[in-house]
Amino acid sequence: MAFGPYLLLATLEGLVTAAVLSLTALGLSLVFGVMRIVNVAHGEFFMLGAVLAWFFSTLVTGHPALGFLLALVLSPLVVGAVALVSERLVLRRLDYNPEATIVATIGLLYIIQQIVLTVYGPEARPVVAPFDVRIALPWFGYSGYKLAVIAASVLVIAATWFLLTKTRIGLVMRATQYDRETAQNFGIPVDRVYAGVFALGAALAAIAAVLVVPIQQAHYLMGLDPLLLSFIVVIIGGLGSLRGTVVAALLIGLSDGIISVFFSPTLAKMIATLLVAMVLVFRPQGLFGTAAR
Amino acid sequence: MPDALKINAINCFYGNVQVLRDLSIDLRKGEVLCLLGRNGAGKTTTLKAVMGLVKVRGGSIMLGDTDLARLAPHEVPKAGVAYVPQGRRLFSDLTVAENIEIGLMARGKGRAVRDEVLDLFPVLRQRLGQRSGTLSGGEQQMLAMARALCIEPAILLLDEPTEGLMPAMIARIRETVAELRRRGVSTILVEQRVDAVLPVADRVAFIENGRNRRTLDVEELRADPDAIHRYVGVG
Repeated sequence: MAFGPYLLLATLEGLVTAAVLSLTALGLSLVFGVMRIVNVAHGEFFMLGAVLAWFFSTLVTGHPALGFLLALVLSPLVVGAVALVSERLVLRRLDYNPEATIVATIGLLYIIQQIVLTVYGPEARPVVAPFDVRIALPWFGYSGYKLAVIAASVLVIAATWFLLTKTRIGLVMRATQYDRETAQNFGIPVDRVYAGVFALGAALAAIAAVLVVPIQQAHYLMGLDPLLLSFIVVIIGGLGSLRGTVVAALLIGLSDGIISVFFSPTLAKMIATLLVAMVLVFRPQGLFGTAAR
Repeated sequence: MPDALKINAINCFYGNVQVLRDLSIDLRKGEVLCLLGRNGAGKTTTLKAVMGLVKVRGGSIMLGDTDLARLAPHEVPKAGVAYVPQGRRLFSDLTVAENIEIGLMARGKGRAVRDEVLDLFPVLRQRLGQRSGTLSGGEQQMLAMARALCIEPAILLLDEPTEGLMPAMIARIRETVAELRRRGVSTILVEQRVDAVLPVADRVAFIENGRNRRTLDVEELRADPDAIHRYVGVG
């Protein structure tokens, strides 16, 4: 294959990575932005979303789209509910202390991982894509489902942007993000906002997982890579910045796709990590973040 | 005149340090009560205790039949208490309109209250789309007060509203406090400067070491100017 089509293929793969990564990182970024909590268990919410997607898809016989749609609806809801319970039982009792919650979410990571290992097992299991269409390009055929993943991610990100900037719930979330104490002075039940944001962040990771599980397989250790990449994205983009998260996910996703295709996936990870180091040294607040108040 | 707010022998701590000691204050309906005292005397802590931002041990803070000390912080504004903190604490990345919207949401107030509040501070009408962090100091103070007034409070707590403002702006804030008194709002005003207080206050409470040493009518204070030095050594 000539260089041009090869580059196009790498770019498309990079865009799929970027789309899924945007959603996952957006969840992590929201939780940090509003609650100031570094959720180390975020990757496990992603993994749980994928495993539940497999489970729900097996409940429905007939066309694969039915099982997939069921998973797309129920998996984020169940993961959101798990996050809600975790918030009530653990984070709230720690009064959202930044240091204590890091340790607590590390514990949560292992609890979720080991429960899934015990119940679901160590196997990697596939979920059938809801449709099997190949888009015939002049140089190669490309999965229509992967293009649908990009479109679905754009839709979910747009919906999240709308929620944050155009609705009362979003205004309440932003006010809580800027000043928790003053938000309470204006009748905002900060605990409830935190619970909602934590559930929403986990649900976004689960949506990303459901979208990706027909491409990858569901496995109990699949949460590590999304967690690492999400941290890279939110540090580069600026913690709490939706625009920064999307731009950084595009940057990391595209570079990952292109460098992986032309060189090696390891080099792609090395460059991403180096980029984080550079950002931390020269622009600690990230590309679109604001300096600490 | 009946009491609008009755603070009964409250104690507050920061860690192991006791900041308020059996502090009692009565705020009468429709009056402006000024808290005077040195830095660290407990004036701001008193306001924070009313808002539920500092835990109260013992005592009570009665608003009618409701003990505010037993409410969650987010329930206090719903009871009709508004707080303008020191340093304004605006949501600086939000626009003026969004800050006002947050104020209105606290007690579900609508467009009529918004218009009424903006009539008090007409300059804010021209700045509705502007990020509040980019306003001048005086405009920020007006927005902080406007946001609080969107609650339509029965009780207004103002913590050093004239701090760092130009004389013209101080006069404007003073006029607003006087106007609110005419409308029947009961106000607790924390100030460092006595000259900023006397024209608008009805009574002055002297706070020292977390206690209310004495509460005087402004007329009594005018007749005895040495009282300020005698009670708290400020002026």
